[in-house]
Amino acid sequence: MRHILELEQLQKTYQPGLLRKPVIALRGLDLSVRQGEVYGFLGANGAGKTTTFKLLLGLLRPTGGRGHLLGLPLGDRHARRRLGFLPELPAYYPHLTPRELLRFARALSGLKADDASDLRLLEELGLGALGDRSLNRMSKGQVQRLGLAQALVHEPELLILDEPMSGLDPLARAVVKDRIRRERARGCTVILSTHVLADVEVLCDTVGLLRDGQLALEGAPSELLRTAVREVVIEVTGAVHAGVLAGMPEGSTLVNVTEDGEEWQVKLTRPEPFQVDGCLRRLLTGGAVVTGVETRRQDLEDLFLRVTTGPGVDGRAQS
Amino acid sequence: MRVIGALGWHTFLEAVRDRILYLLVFFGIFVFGLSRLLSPLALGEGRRITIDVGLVSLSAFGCLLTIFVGHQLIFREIERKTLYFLFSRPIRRADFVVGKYLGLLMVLAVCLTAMGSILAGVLVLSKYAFGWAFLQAIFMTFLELSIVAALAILLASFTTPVLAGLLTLAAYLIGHGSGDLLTFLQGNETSTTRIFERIFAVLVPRLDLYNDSLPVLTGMLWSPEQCLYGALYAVCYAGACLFFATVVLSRRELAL
Repeated sequence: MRHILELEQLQKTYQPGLLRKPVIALRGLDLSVRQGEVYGFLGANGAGKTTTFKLLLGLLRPTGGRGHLLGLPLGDRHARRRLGFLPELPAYYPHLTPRELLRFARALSGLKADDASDLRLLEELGLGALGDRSLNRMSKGQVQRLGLAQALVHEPELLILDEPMSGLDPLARAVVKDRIRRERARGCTVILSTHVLADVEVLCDTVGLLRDGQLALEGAPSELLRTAVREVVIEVTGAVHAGVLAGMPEGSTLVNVTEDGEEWQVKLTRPEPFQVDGCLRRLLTGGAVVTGVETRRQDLEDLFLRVTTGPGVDGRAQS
Repeated sequence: MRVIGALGWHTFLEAVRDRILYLLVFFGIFVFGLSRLLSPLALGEGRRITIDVGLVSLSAFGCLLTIFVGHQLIFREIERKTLYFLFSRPIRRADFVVGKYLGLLMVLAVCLTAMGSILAGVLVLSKYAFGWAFLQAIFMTFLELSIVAALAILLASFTTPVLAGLLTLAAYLIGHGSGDLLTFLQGNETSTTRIFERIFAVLVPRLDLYNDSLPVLTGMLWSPEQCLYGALYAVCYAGACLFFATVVLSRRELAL
């Protein structure tokens, strides 16, 4: 499948001033996004997500590495013709109305005015009644949805969404999620940066986790979460022989569920498969009756916390 | 062209909705008040005073307008983050500069037309004669301010809004005396003054070329050569400013 975005060892260092220390935002980012997928671009605050987007748009120039967007060098204006961008905390011209903004967006994309399509798009995003209201009289959530409308007005091949759910109520979030699915069905590639990880789990085909300006983890959410078992709980009834417990794998704990000692739980934290097998065998041969085995997998939030709070490239844990 | 046109129209619309046209009301009150105040004191030179002060006010108000609108045209896009909206689309930095400039020219054209009409109204009310040279004077003021507008955009491309505004105002004031200063430098020829003269002739805009109320007073028209030279000078000077503004912006990283 064709790659829409390819970044190789992309680096960006900010020089805040002569006497200030340079700030390294990207340390060599390798990233590939396939055509037609929804790519979740995750990372803690300051990990380098927004810097990456600015580099893609050509607002910043990389200090190292290279990249191609839609087959063209980063920042190429012909590539920008084919992408739609929703920035984090979008800001537009307060004196314009949504319809005027969309007309302006069309003109800047080199397209003729099409008021009927603009109105339809506004209606689909729940803004149909606000078409002639000036932007300074609209709420944050309404401006956020208008930001999505202006990114979609020219039917882009690539949609870059930086925190699209910010400031949205549950109803508006559902509208935006539905729109992302529709764009994917149309064949549009979506790069989605968000801190709402539940949305990432349901929307994204691939997830990339940025840490210290580098890609720390990448894969399909189902794959990442399948291999990451957080805990296995084995429920046991009957008296458990003390010798059985002595041979349990490291990291396992025994919890007495009932006061009479008839029901127990053996908890194994991040076990390897052979450890679960060994534990079950010991329990069964030790006379215990295993009534259930529950595998607790980590969700994306656990994974995010584990990756982002581990030691970074400079050896420090990230806040 | 569609992109440049859209940027220009948007710049014009933004200036209008920012209530910049209120300046016209001040101009009207100022010119009308001044003519009423000065004419009785002018000992029969009321017409001359009204025309002189009126045309100078037209130029000065136009300059203020250019500075108000022009000095933050670029910075404001960065500050309020609307540049993400603009530069996520296929526009070049040159489109951006020329579009903003055209928008500023539209604002100037509308305001100069309105201010010219107000001044003409004051002259009619005072029963002072004026001819076609009056229209030429308005046109020459437009050319003068088109230079100031281009300079404001160039300065705004690499300095802060306040500094850009102050430097534009300084260039406007020096530009009006540039002819006299050049004559002075030419009259005191040494190797140092020759260098100054050359630098001065290239950098400082010759705004004195556009401020001559004599044709309006005498009823004689500006010569075609004068008009053509003025127009060519304005096109070249403004073109050079916009070119350098584009070069500066192309090299600049446009993000907070």
